[in-house]
Amino acid sequence: MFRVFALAKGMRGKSKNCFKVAIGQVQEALEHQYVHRKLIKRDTRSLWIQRINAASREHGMKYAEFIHGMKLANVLSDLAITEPAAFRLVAETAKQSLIEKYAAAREQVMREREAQKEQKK
Amino acid sequence: MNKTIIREGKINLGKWFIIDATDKNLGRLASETAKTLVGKYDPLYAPNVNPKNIIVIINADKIRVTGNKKFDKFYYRHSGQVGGLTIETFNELQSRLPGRILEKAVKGILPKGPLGRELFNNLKVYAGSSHPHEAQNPVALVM
Repeated sequence: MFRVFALAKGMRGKSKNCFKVAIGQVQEALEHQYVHRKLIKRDTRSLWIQRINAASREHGMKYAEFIHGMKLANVLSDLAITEPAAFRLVAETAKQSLIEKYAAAREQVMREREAQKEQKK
Repeated sequence: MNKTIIREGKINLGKWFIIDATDKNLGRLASETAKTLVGKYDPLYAPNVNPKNIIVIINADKIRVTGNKKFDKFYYRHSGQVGGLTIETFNELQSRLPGRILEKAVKGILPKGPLGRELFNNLKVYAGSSHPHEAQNPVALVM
């Protein structure tokens, strides 16, 4: 069971104070959050594609042509051989993302351990 | 995770553009204008941002339509009163209010909503070839 009023903060009127009203609003809010977690992935990908479209049009291609051309050219493997400096930039971006991802996971684990220690006290 | 960059809030990096509408086709011109106003040609595009691209269109009275649209394309408006429907042809509206046709065309393409209405304010349409924005040095828009 979750703590309803903790989730009802910031709601309008009795929704944040009265259980009968709050429980409905909170459940709806949780449902919206569930759906939105999936929508975020779709929307950000759409935004990336729009941005790539704009950037590739600056180079005389539409998004579709650009992606097709990249697949034909095997870009990353090509870069690894012929343009090590460019590949290094790509690799460092990738490595940074991995570091940030595992740093976030590591912090999460540390926080959970601390929370468990506090509960035991 | 590498955060996707989204410019927040109000920004002021947009440019001033100028378009000469002489002998251009109405829809094609309006489409490019609207896309530039929205910021779709910028890799830093974000759907919640007004990129402040100001577009000045001159010679709006010389915009063209193909075929018989000059006499067959109708513009409707209704005053809200009974019997208040007014119908004008492209030609009539062009002679009455030269800039209105382009404004309607672009407004129809821009997104509908508070941001869309804001973007419409970044469009400045003039009937003749002179405009009051010389000081901003608008750059010709490459389409």
